[in-house]
Amino acid sequence: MNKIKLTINNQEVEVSKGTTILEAARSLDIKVPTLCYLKGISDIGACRMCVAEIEGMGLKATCNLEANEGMKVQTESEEVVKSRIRTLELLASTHTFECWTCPREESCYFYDYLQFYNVENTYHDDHKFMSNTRIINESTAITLDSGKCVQCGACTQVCAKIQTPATLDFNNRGIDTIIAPTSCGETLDDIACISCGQCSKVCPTAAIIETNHIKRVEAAIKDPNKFVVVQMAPAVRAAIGEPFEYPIGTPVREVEGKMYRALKELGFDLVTDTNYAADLTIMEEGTEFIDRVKNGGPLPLFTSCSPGWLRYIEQYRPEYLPNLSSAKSPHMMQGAFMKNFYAPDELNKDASEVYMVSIMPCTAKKYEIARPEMEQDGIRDVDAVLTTRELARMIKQHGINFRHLEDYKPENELAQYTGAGTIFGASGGVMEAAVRTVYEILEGEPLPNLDIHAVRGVEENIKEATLKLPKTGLEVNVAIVHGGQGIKKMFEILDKGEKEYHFIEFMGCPGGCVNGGGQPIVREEFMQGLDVAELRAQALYQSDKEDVEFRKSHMSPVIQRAYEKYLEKPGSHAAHKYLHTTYTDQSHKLK
Amino acid sequence: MDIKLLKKIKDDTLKRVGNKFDKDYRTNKEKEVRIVLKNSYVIDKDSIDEYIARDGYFALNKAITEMKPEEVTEVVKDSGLKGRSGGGFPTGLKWGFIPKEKGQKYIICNADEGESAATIDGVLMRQDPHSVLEGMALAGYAIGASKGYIYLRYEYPVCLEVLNKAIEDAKEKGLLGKKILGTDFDFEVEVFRGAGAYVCGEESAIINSIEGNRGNSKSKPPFPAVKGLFSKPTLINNVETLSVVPQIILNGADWYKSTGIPGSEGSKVFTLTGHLNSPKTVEVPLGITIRELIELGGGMRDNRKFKAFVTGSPNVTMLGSEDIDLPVAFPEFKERQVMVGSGGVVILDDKTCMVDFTHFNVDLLNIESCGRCTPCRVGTKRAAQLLEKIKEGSASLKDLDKLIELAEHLRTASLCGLGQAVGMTMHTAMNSFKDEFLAHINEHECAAGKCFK
Repeated sequence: MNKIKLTINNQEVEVSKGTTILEAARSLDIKVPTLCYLKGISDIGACRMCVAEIEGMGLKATCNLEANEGMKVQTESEEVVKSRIRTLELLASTHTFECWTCPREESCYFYDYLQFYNVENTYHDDHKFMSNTRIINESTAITLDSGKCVQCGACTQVCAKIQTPATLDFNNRGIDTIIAPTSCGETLDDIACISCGQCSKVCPTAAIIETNHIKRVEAAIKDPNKFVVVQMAPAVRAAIGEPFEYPIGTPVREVEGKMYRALKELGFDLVTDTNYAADLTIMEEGTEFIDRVKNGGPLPLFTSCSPGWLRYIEQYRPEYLPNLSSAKSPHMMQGAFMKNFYAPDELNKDASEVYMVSIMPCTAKKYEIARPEMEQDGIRDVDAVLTTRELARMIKQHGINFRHLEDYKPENELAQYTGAGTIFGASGGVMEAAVRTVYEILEGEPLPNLDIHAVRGVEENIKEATLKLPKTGLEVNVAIVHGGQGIKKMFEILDKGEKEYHFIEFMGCPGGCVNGGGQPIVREEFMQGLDVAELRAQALYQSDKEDVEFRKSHMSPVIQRAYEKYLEKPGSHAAHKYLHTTYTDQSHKLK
Repeated sequence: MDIKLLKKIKDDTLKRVGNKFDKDYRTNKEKEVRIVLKNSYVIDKDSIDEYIARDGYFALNKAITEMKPEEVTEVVKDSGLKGRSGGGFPTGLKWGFIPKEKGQKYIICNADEGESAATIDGVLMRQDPHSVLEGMALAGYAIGASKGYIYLRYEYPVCLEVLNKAIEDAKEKGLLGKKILGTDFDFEVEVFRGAGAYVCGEESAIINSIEGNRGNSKSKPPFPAVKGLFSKPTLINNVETLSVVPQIILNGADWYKSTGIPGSEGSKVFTLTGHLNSPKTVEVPLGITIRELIELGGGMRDNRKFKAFVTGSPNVTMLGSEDIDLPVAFPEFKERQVMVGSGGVVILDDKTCMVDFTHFNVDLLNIESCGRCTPCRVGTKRAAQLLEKIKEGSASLKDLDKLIELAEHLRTASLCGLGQAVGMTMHTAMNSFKDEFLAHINEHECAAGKCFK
């Protein structure tokens, strides 16, 4: 008796026991509106949009009601539609409508439902009903806007269940209820949030968005005294097509050239690519790894590319900070290298003239550039971070027809990269890139197979592999961890000390950067987060295999030149000054 | 501890106290009964011996030495006892919903007496704490639970002290804890103090609160009986319900049914408040009429006219003067979509404006809404604002329609009982006092002289 038969809108359907009515309806392609529902993550039944009429039970939320044998469900009866409209009317009465300036103008579920149900804004003709105080809570990475919040609580669920910090929750009661940092009144910078931005991706409206950097970037572009350089992370090219209706997982070669061209048209003075610095990171981190293996640790070495992960370890597990690689994340290296070496030397620009903008799939990068460590001699490494979403919005606001752009390929050295740099965007990519280089340096001969499938994929949040180095006689145990849940689990394993690891890649977001908190929003009802990550990752792996001349960081001629001309060798004094950083215990934010 | 010792304590104590137990505080011995309040104001609340002397813990002994757990549930089912906290759901049936399989299960005694007009549970816990503990132990035995929580309202610090002492005393005598009365039955009770939210009288909000979460309600099903506290089967009953169980087990279902009327068996304690000459707490058989209740409260204050009978507060439902001879009973009230409630009764006279009264309650409920579901969080506020418009004289008939619509929406689409009950509040007010609402809107006339100021 593991199957259950029920009828939904007079259609019979058979589902397995434990299936909710909402999922049963979806299996019949019946569309049930939802605001707070996230499959497997959030079924708190708060928004009341998914109500349906169930014979003998009246109106019930379907997202958390298990189907029973013989149930008769109507999802579109007059009563149901009326109830949804009333719910929407009530939500509309608390909403700050400024759709024309809203970053979610094209991906707002709430707007879609208001339109679909043709909801009249009945409460707006009377000042009596304007009762909510709008609270805008801005942190370096994430901005909460209570005026746009529909109180669905999806963010609280994703934060607690997927990422684990549980930094957002309902505060106050009644009409004054707001979603806010758990210790009320403070911003997300002051508490143990990791700035990952996964909350902003499940928000149905613009109540949680990345803290806006478009304004400062536009101002810099207009400023004649500034030489504005842009760079973009590997994962950006895996998703930049999506806001322009390219399917998820569109090959990199179809959109990368258009992306470069769009940046040119937006007025950036120089287009570079973070992939360059990803190769640089492999040189630095790989060398650091070899150094630690030879000189007795501390091992395992933890990667340091993900600023969400950095916040996690600094706040939650500072006792492990000695394990963290001192290498800066790629875009910070790119900024430091550009301002301190490339611009003065090759472009004849002073470091203070250069304004560095990073396009990132990430909200935590906005936090990262504000870290006090990220400057040398008064020169900040990076000045602004735009998320993939913000870039798409800028392109649209400038009236650029992305789909019809001619490809462009920047020719400066800082825009050249290897396949190893590209796959940084996928979970396991940093490890794979590192292995390709470390193996060859230690063994002195080429790695037999460059595609290391054991470290790819998103199904497990902890992946493990053992790399055998026959000549050196080493067996290197590596692990790849992504998402807060995985990180928490990994520390539990490390605490027990039963298993020996040498090198661990950590990413703050589930699926790695391709599924970062700054990536385009994909609606839950169409696709789950990790399926999206898988498709975007495939695009990067395909590019690594088919589009590039070199697939190993140390083989890159531009990287070799950088060391010859400026940095001497990986881990040198100059490299340490500009490409490495330090960390501090931030556990006081946990209180 | 065994039955012999229990009997010895009883005999010794009876000898010691003399005629102390003959006291009877009832003012009207014909209409009032003494079942739930049997021990209140009679025994020393801190003396477990005096509770035993009044046959306390004899029911527990009877159940665990002579009866199977199912038999206990059966007797409660037969007695017709219904939940005393408002819903009026048959208690025995609720007990029967708990899965029979072995494993961790919990009893929660809902002592979050949040209704502003009710002081029944407070009196019981202060005056007769052992009856609550014994009732919980009996329920624990019936469903196979070994742990019980009393979810105590924050504003009852005296109860906290009394209950904790009672638990210690019972443990010391082997009437709670491990191997109760020498049998294999273990049952522990812990008092969990709430933080003062009204919504935490709702079952699922209590569970959230005890688990350490914000006191939000959850969707049902799954019901607590299947997936309750810490996801284990959980039985939640109110103080008054549990405290009468020992007497039912000891004296039998038929004895209990001899009070009250069919469909509304037994007695109910009411706190009579409002415009009465002598507001008080009384225990009466169910089926008594509203008129008789008013008389027990000393009649209407200043000889004014009776206007409304209100149960619950702030989640109120109300009846008008035409229903003065209606028996206070579950089926009769249900027919009129009114709740018997947990016993807090407000009697209003003709100096009360029902628009104003409804507004007061709806506004209060918005403040107490947990804010989780849309209808309750926003709907209660908009309803309060619409009522405010009526009070100011700026409302039209369109606003009344909106209010009727909102009442319906709250009743059908809210996540938990709190929001649904606000719908009932508005519905019963507009139903029983429709003319008054219309007079406010059309004539700008407030008979009570409260509005348009």
